Order: sequence, then structure tokens, then C-alpha cells
Amino acid sequence: MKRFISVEELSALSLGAAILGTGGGGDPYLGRLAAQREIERHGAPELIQVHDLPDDALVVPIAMGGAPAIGLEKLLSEPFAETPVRRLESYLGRKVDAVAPLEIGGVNALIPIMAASRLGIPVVDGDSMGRAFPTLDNTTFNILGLSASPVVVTNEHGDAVIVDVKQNHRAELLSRAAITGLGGATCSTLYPMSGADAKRALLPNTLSFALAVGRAVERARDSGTDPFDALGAALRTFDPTLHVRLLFAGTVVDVGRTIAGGFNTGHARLRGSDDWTGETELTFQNEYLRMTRNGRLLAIVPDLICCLDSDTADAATCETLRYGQRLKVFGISCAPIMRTSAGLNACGPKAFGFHDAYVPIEAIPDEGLL
Amino acid sequence: MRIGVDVGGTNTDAVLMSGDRVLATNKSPTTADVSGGITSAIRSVLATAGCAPRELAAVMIGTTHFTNAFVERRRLTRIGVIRIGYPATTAIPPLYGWPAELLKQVGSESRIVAGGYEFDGTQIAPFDESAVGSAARRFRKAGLRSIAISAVFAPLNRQQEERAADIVRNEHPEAVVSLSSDFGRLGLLERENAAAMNAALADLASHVVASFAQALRELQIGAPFFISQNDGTLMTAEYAALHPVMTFASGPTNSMRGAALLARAQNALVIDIGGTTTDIGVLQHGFPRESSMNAGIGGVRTNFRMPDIVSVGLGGGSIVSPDGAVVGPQSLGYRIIEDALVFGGSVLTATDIVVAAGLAEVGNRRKVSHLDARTVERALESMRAMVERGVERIKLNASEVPVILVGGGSILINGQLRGASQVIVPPHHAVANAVGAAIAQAGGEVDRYYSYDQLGRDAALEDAKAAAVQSAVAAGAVAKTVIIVDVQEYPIAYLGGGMTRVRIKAVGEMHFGSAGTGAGTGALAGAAFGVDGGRDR
Repeated sequence: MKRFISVEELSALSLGAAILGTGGGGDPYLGRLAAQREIERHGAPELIQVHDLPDDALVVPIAMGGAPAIGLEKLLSEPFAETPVRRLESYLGRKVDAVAPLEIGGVNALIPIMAASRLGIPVVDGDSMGRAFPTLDNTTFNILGLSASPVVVTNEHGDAVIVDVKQNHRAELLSRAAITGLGGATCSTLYPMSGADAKRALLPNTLSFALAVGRAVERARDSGTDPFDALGAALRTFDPTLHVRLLFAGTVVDVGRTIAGGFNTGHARLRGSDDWTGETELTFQNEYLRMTRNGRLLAIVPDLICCLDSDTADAATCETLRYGQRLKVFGISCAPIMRTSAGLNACGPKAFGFHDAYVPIEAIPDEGLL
Repeated sequence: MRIGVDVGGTNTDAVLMSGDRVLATNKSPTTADVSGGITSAIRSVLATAGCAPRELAAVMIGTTHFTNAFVERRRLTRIGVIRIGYPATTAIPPLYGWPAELLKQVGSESRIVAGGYEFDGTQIAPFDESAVGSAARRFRKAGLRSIAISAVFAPLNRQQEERAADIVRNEHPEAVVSLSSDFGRLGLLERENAAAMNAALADLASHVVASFAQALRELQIGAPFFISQNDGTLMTAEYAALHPVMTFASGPTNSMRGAALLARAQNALVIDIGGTTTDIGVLQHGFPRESSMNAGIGGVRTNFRMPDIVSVGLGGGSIVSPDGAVVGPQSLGYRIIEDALVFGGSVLTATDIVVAAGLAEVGNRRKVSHLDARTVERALESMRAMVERGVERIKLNASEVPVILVGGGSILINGQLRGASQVIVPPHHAVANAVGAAIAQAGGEVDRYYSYDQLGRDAALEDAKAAAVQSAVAAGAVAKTVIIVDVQEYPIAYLGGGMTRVRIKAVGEMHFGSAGTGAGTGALAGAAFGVDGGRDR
């Protein structure tokens, strides 16, 4: 039976996507409103499982790109997510069969839903990150050697820049320049691939995963129970192989930011509350990448570091991190492919300039297992 | 001398102050016409202190009237919204996502016209002035007089919003215009929502501010009057009549600032216990610590800076389980005066517990004499634990801090609290709100771009802080009292060179000459206030 995504599910999806955004990925709120309006006008899109994709289908990941601060002003335009798909279709001379999220963390969980609703094609229940990451190098696609090109970057005017180059890293640099040149609030398709490749490369069920996470928190809020208990239970129920750990609970006592190469980079210090003692440091570059306590590693990229408001369980983003904010920080093990040597090359500590060796979250000694 | 007034939903409180001394206080019922309650409260404090109206230097009024009207969807104006930004932004039109019952009152008339700015200051598309004109004509024909205008990146450049306002006024001379750039920060939707909320309150605001003026005329008070705004600074009555949403957070801000003064504490927790909830906030240097979350008001998302408040479901009317183990969050609310045991009702409430314990005299004590001592003990313990958990949640560190109790429900907490170095129940705590209004301050703000690469972050921040202090002094603040209360840095990544937008807010004590001599009054009357005057571009 076909499964459709309804308007009612969008708030849970955006809540879950924000949590999996690990501090980045942009605020899903705007994406939720825009997707809601698309579904109201164009109908609910079908959610298709990765393994149900025909091998010869043309599957296209889609994402918005640009600085979150620009997106907050320029919002999303119309037809936004349709434009790059149409431009790609005319460039390739064939129809796109399904769209997929590039990243499930943040606003980009909602963009393919907008596209699917408008185009009347399915959206795939799977993405290439299982979280949010800053560049198109940090994807399962790149790890598996798929080509990012042609990348189609479009803006609100319907302008398009098509980047068709051999190296993914060059595609990343050129797309980034295109995003800036097109006004900083763009929508792109990238890594167009066959259904066969999609089955190999997409992390399955991640859209359902974000939805389950968000729904658990929503239900806990509605029933007045602890959203963090609900979150932990939802994570483990959905995927019993996950390692989930409460890393810290405390208050932000300092945030230092710098802008390096177009990224929102910085550190935050947290002081423990409840039974948590000591001080922890969070390092971020668009997303939370590394957390230490008294100089000892608690978690490091590509494992997920999710900071949540300790009252509401809403995701606390790196951009809005502020002195006095009360947080609970969870660590979640990343997808196994990210832990392979190719995976760590693309998404591991060294890819983000850390000297630390990667240590899987479950191998770090700690008392705080949920 | 000056008077602070708090116009609440139930009561209108007034305090007469000289410097930071409270000379007289009064609580009067809020009247439907607003001015009646104010007149009665002010007349009472003047009489108590034997003070003549001409001795007053200023009157400061804080009110939750506009917040309540919006949340309760009362007396709202139908509005038109013009957004400048086409072809960007179109996937989420103005007012999209507002609650249906709210749209029923304000309507859903909006237009998106070409224009707006890119992050680098260039135009998204040529500004379509003629489309603004035709939107204004359409709104006029539809009988809409209150118009909100927003533009993409207006916080960086408000020229197009201002030009659009001129066009609207030209086409539609009766129009009252709300500009999104008056309501601050980046985030088009939230800023536009604030402007639209403001527009929806236009009629009520001009009516209410006129009622304030009328009350003062009746009392023959010639001193200028001011309205307190969200951040604890003042705006002129004229400015407030056009910017009612700037009062939205003034209630908790005034309450906490009043508590600070009454308890003579600059750094403390303030616990305001009402009938249904207990609100716990943090005072830092005499100001509320602000929340980092986006505030939804009446179901509409905004990015107002609200005080960071932890709310606990405990108040005087909280319903207590028969064994005393569970207190709240259900509350009798205003029905407490009929349904609580001490008032002859049949529901066990938190107030009944403290009366039974002999900690307060409310209603008829004999009606609770049958309560089991263990039940009372257990309920007192639950109440204390609820407040202590709230205190634990909001504190930045484990060290003990002074706690100030205000509000009518402060009888619920007796003696020590875990985490508190001392518990202060200051005199006049029931009118902390009006005291907060009376001591509202003059503020100044700068909003500038710096290249951190060229200047260095520290030097840039120093420069901006100095400018903010200067701006506050120009707005009437006493120089040696001015402090920096807010620093925001927005890195503009794509501009390179470490370009960062820096917004800094400074506030200081309002300069008062000796009461009524005219020196203070002159400084007040001639000064520019808050967002309006402090702007430095």
C-alpha cells in the first residue's frame, strides 16, 4: 500500500529533523510552513522506501543551500523546489522519477516534500547523511564514489547555474560560488543517480526516523511526560543497533564565534546542572562536531551531538546558542558507513580539522548511558 | 517625584516614588474605560502622600493590555500587509500559519510586491512602487486603515519600507502604518508578524493611550508620561500609540525590575507567585535575563526578546489532592474566592494549606481546621519542592543566590528554599510591577558593521559599546549609570573579511532634576527614547 505524507505529520517531522540537525541544517520551521502550503494546494506526496526504487529510476537528491541568516530573510520562493528538478530534466533530457533528501537534519528534510508534492512524484525515505553536514562532500554518495555532477543551483528568479565537473570537491567549490552569486537562498539538485545506486547509497528509513523522533517528543509534551525519556525510547525502538547516550546537562556560560571560510565556527562552554559536574566544551562548525569534559572526549563527528533545550526538548542550533541557555546534550552513533575509513575520510574528525582520532561514542568510557 | 502605574487585566496599581523610595501605593480595580482605574489609583497615592500633581516630574505606565487583547483576540483591527520581496519569499505569504480565529478578526489581505534587498545590499528586484500604490488603493477600498509593511533585509536598510509608507499615506491618507524595521531583528517572518500584530492593535492602542492622557488631564497632571517597553526602557506616549507591540513583554520585565529595587538586589532570582502559576526569572545587574527561544504570542511566532522565565504550575488557587501529595497544575483561578475551603467552597487549594498551617490569614481559618496535619505537611513539602525544582532549572550554577518573592501568592513559600542564600519578601511586593514601571530607564542602541579582520573583534566591540553608551546618554540617561545590557553579533559570512553586524544596547537611569523644577522634565521631554531615539545608523 502506498504511504503518503500528510500535513499533520509535518510538525513532528520538522521537530525530529531539527534534533537530527545536530545544531545545523537550518530551522525547519520555514520549510514546514512552505511544505504545508504545497500539500494543501498540490496534494500529499508518496513516501517510497529505498528498496522499492526501480533500478533504472532517475533518483534526485534535493536541498536548499545558502546561509541560514539569508534564508531567514528571503524565506523560500515559489516554485522553489520545482525549479532545479525541471532544469535538471531538460539538461539530462529525461524525467525525474523520485526526489530524496540530501540531508535529514534541519530544513532540508522538508524540501524534497515540497518538490514531490508539486511534481507529483514520490519522495524517498532515505538520505545521504543521517544528520546534517555542511558540504556535499560529507555524503554517503561521495564516500561511495558517486558523482555530484551535474549540480543544478537555482534561485527565486528561476536562474540556474549548472555545474558539471568530474571531481566532487570541485563541484562543491563551484556550487558554493553559485549559491553566493545567486543570492544565497537557493535550491539545488545534485548527485542525480539510478535507482540501483540509490539503493546502495541512501541510508534507509531516515525520514521515518526523523518523524518517529519528532512524534515521540510531541506526544510526551502533549501528555506532560518527560520528552527526553520519550526521545531515548523512540531512538532505541526505531533502531536497536543505535548507541544513545546522555552526554551532559547544563547551562551555556560562554559562546565564542568566528567566521572562517563561510562557516559559523566556534566554541561553547557549558556548566553542569543537576548531577552533572565540571565544565564541558562544545566545538561547532555549522553543526556540533566535538564535545569534551575537562579535556576528555565525550563524542566526536561523525557521531551525532544533539543539543536540546532542557525545558522543551527543542533543538538548540549553533547559530542561536546563547549564554544562559539550558541544554541537555545527547550523543547518537552515526551510520556504520560513516565509520569506515572512506567514511571517516569524508566525514571524520580530520575532515573538519581536528587532530583527534575518531572514537565511536559507545567506546568512550562514560557513566551516562541512557 | 514620579508615579509608576501598572494597568493589568484585573487591577490597576500605582506607586508614588521619590528617587528609589516608595512613598505611597494603591491597588484599584481596572475599569472598562481604563482611565477610571488609573485616575482612582493615582488620586489615591497623591492623597496618601499629600503630594500635588504639579510636583510630579513624570508618570510611567506599564500595561499588559495589548498583550491580553492580542492573546484573547479582543478589539483587533482588520489589517492589510504589504511585503516587499518578490520574487523571493513567495512560498510563505504574509499571515500564513496564523490561527484561523485570529485571521477571522484581522482578515488575510496581503500583497507581495517586487523589491527588497540581498544580503549585500543590492536589490532583489527593482522596487515596484506602483504595486505598493495599487495595494494601498485596494486596502482603502476594502476599508482597511491599518497597514503593515515589511521588506527583505529591512534591518540592514529600511529605505524601501519608508518609501512604501510614504506611498501608502499618499494613496490612503487615513492609513496608519507599521514598519517591520521598527521591530528589530533579522528573520522576515517573525519581524513581519510583529508589524502585523502591531497593525492589528492600532485602533486599541490609540484609544488606550488617549485614555491614559485623559486620566492624567483629569488629574491635572502636566508632567510628561511614558510607556514602558519590553526591555525595561521607556517610550513616549506618541511612540507607544503607534508601536503597541513594544509593550508585549513589559509585564514580566517590570515585575522583575521592581523586585530588584524593592529588595535592593541586582543579581537574584525573582519568584512571582500568582493564582495559577509561579514564574521564576533571573535578574542580572538589575535586568531580566532574556530567553533564547522564539516566543509565540497568541499562536503567532515572533522574535521578541522575552525575559527567560521558568513557569511552574503552582499558585494560590492550585488544587491539592486529598492526601496532599499532588499540588496543581490545575487551579481554581479567579474562582478561588468562591470554591476554596477557606472561602466556604469545597475544593482543597494551596491557599487552604498555608492557612491550615497557620502561615497566612486568608478567609475563614475554621473551614480548614479539620485538615489532617500530615496532609498539610505533605502539601507544603510538595509546594516547596516544586519551587525548588524551578529554581534549580533556571540557575546558571550551583552557588546560592538571593531569592525575591513577589506577587499575591508569595504566602505559599515560608522560610528557606534550597538553592537560595536568602529569601526576601520585600515591602510593597504586591505592586512590584508598578515600581518597575516607575524606575524604567533610558536606552540607546547601535547597529553597525565592522570588519573583524581589520579591526579585531575586541576593538570593534569596544567602539560599538562606546557609541551605545553615548546614545543612551543622549536619550536622557545619567552617564555614570549606563551599562551595556545586550550584545549581539551577526557574522555576515558571505561578505568575507570577518564582516559582522554588531547590535549593542545600553541603558541607564533616567536623569531627573529635583521633582517638578523642570530640569528633569526638560530632560525627559527633550530626550529621544528607546528604539526610536537610540537608533544609530
